[in-house]
Amino acid sequence: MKRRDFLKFVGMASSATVLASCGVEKSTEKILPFVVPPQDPDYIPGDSMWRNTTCTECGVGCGTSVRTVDFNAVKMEGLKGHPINDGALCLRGQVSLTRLYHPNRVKNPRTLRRGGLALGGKYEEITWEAAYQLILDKMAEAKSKGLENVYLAGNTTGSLSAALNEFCAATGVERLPHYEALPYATLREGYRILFGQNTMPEYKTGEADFLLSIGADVVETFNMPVAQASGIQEAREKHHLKWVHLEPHASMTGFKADKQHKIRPGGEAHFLTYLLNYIMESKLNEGNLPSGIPSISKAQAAANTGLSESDLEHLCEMLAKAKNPLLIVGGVSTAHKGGLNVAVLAGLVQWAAGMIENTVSFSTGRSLQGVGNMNDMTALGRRLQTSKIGVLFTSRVNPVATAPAATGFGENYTKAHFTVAFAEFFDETADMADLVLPLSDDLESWGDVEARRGLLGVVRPVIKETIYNTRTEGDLLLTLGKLAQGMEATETYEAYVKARWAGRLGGAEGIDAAVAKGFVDEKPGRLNISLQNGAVAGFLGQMKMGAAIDGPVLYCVPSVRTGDGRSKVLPLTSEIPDPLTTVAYGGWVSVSKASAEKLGLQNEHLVIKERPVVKVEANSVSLELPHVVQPGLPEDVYVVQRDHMSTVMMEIDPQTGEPLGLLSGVSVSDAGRNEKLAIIAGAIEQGHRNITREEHTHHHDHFHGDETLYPDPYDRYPDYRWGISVDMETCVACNACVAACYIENNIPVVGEAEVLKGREMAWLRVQPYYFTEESGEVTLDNLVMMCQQCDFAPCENVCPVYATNHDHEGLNVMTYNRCVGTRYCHNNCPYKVRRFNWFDWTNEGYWNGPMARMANPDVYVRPKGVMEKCTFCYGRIRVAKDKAKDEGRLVREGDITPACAQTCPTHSITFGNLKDQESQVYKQSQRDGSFRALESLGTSPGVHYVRKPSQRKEEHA
Amino acid sequence: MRAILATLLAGFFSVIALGMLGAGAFWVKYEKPEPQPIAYPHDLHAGKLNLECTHCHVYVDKSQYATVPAMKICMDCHKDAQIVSPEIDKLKKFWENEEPIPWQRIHSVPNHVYFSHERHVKFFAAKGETYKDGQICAKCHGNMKVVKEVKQTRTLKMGFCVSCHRAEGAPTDCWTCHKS
Repeated sequence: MKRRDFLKFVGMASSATVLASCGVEKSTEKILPFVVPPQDPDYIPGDSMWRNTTCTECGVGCGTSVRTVDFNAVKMEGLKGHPINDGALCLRGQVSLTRLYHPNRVKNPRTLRRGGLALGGKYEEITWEAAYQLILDKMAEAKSKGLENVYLAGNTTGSLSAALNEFCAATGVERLPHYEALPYATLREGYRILFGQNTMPEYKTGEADFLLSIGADVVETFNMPVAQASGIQEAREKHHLKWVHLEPHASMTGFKADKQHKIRPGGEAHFLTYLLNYIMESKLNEGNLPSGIPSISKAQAAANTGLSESDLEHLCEMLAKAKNPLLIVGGVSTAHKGGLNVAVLAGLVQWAAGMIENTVSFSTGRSLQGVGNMNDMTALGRRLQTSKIGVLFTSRVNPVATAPAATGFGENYTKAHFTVAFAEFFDETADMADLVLPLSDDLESWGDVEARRGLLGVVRPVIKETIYNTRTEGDLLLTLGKLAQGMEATETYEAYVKARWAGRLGGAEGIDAAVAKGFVDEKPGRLNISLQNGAVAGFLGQMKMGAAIDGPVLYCVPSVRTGDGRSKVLPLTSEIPDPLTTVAYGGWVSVSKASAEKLGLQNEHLVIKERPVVKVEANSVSLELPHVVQPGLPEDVYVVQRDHMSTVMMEIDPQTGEPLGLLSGVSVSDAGRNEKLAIIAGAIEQGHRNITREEHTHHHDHFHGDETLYPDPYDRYPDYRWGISVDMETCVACNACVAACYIENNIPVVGEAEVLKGREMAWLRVQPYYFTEESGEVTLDNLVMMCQQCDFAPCENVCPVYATNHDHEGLNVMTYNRCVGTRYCHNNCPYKVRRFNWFDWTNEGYWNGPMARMANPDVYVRPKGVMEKCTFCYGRIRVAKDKAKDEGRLVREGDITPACAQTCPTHSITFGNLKDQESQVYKQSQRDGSFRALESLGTSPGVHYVRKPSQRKEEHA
Repeated sequence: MRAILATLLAGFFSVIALGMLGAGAFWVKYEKPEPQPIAYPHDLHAGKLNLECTHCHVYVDKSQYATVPAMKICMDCHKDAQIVSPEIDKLKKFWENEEPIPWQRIHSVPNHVYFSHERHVKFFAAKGETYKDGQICAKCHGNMKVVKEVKQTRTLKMGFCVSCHRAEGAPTDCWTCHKS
């Protein structure tokens, strides 16, 4: 072929291609309009409808407001004005929305033929009718054999509790004490002995001016963490709260207190006794203390607590000086063999210092009276073992995996005549059950929760119909009761609940108001709490105080990501890293620096996601997990999260039935091999960079007239310069913002293999930076790191296709369909906040199936090969600007709240217009101690951080 | 030599022929609209009967989506209007079966675009424009009062959007239209 012909040929071919690629692409999409439009008065296609309900991820009962768009729930937020959480929501609450759309939910009733999978048995999906019939047959069979049918559920309150009682009465089923993996058994037993209150009070941190917390992780998992964290912030503002935390290990709560002291494991009772002695000596006791409180000398107390004598004295004085003190004891400090002593002594201090019904409120205490403990489970295990149980119902619990082996429950579970599990997911218990009945999610159900005295939390469906073939537990009970012909049943559980509400709330109007509001606060009267002198004196008489524990100990602690472990089933709780260590997936043992050196563990290669494995052995426990060096952890103290050891290994306190979180006599050794561990942070110290403690280069007038040849960037912004300010003093690093960001912005969960390659997609991370102060104390700065929206953004200059550039509101704009994926911007970003889509998560993987219904329609689901990053929730900015335009004004302060700021329990994140000098964010940016990350690079970020007071120059001077 | 030339020529023309075939196929695939399940005449409803656009597209000034009307809106008139036509019979059949009509989508913007009908309609309405021909809706959809069958008459591509945004002084920042 001649060259000329070749060219002709090519020319033809290419013009044909050009021809084929122009013109309008014809859509093959169908539009299916409504036959009859929805009747909801607030329905507008594509707009948000908010439905108020109650979060049931844990037992606290926070109010939530669920954003639905076109009848899909896309975001869950804390309910403003709710007496418990007032707008805030924790990590787990945020993530709980994914429970609804989880593709692995139980979708149909299912039986497992006895003999199980091992014998080639098969699962069989059956109809609801067949399932009901099967249960009735088995119940009758059991009765005829003289066996007892029992019902074991997680904590059940409100209408469901009433329905359960009716069901049990009608069918002769025994209702067992509720099973909770974290039962607060020791504390409740302590409060029962002291005041006859078998429950947890509300700790009103918001009203305290001095907070002394011992062992309890008050801003992580303990009792009501969101309310407690919010309260601490409130008290800091209103009452100049001083917060001292004592703990034997290292927790986020400890790092976030104003001052933390390490206490020797098992030394808590000695410290509290010393406090009581001080109270008696200095005649502070407002309530009469009973006799029999042991006396302890300062030297003894110092020796057993590990605190210096001056520290002891100082703490006592602080308590004496405080007008409204609050003592919170719990967590690891009551989860050991002397835990009940600690609980009772702590209650006595609360009584003597006048905290009871002041800052420790039983009047608004939690509804945990029906919750049992592990001793109850032991009793059940024994009944199972002796084949006395007929039909065993379990609902919303997974005791096979979470009840300690000593209870004998898991071992004997299959010895019941027939086992029925009501479950949302297949877990260890449901996997072994003869019959699994799928439960509807609480976002698909009617119901109510009475998580605390006098507070009715409404549970209502937020979507039109259930996603799978599921029923609510209430409906199951009513139907079964009706079929057993013993129970006058209402047609549906919805009708049942509403009939109960009608009586309580005053008819249909009252119900409508309650459903619209999401809760009814009946403001219950004050309880008359008094010390039960006889019982207390009796307890004190036989109390034996053990000495503090020597030698290596292992603490098993709950995680802020999964609580008692039930949130572990949601993948996002594993993808979001642990706040202290930044470990995303997998388990680890936290080891102190000194112990790691002693054991000869190599920790040279911090960046490589691999760690030497340690072997931890104690009486009942044997663990082999990679180790992470935890700064601030005392020598010989090892910490593992409950999620990563089988809780089955835990011991039980025979006195109270508490699963014990402290193991002594532990031997730890180097297992001699390394294992992969998905650690996000390359380093947890700042080295010479000093990001959070950089010298002040911050000019107060830097917005206008910074000395530079370049024009003022603010001249480019006509109306707005969006900015964020993060207060590092009040931030408790709970990571709720991270979870909120994931859900709001359609960020995919990529899984462990990808995280190990450094391909996590979080737009927002809470970076821990540890420091060893001159005093030797280890402190922690948490840098909430998102796109800094720089005025002179390094990412913009390097984009070859102009996919990322600057807009007229100070934002660094990412245009996804323009991006070709060179990742130059990622390379050039000094903050490492840009994320690359290595895979298509849109059609496969995360956004597949029902999960697609959760995607926020205001935010694009990014395809493979493009960069993405924080946008300051531009979808929300757009909504606010639309509204402002409708009203013919500019956006005002408070119109926009990004997802991270919205969910923050401590209001540490402020968003606003930096051009408006009246705005909160501007004022924060001008505060003493305000700085911008890596300011010396000249990027001029729009995010300001406010240093902790101890780090502010002016306070040192 | 002749043979080679003949082969080349034949090759050349066959390429042209292929190209034309391709163009034909392209027209069928891309240009010719799929038939709608019911031949709804816009010229009759909007033109002759002079119904306001918002009579049926009820959300156009309230929502980002104009929405194809719910069938109840059709039936509000047609259950009384005594008009006999095979197309109306089709409509009634859908209604009786409570089935949505599977309309063929004509106008669309890609998923990564945020386009709000409400915002645009309100903007032009504030300038004193109305739904009458050549005004608000027609800017993107053409004059619907005269078309029997809906066709796309504007490209609805970025250039089209931006030229109007420039002319009207609307913002041209990326995130104005590109979803974040």
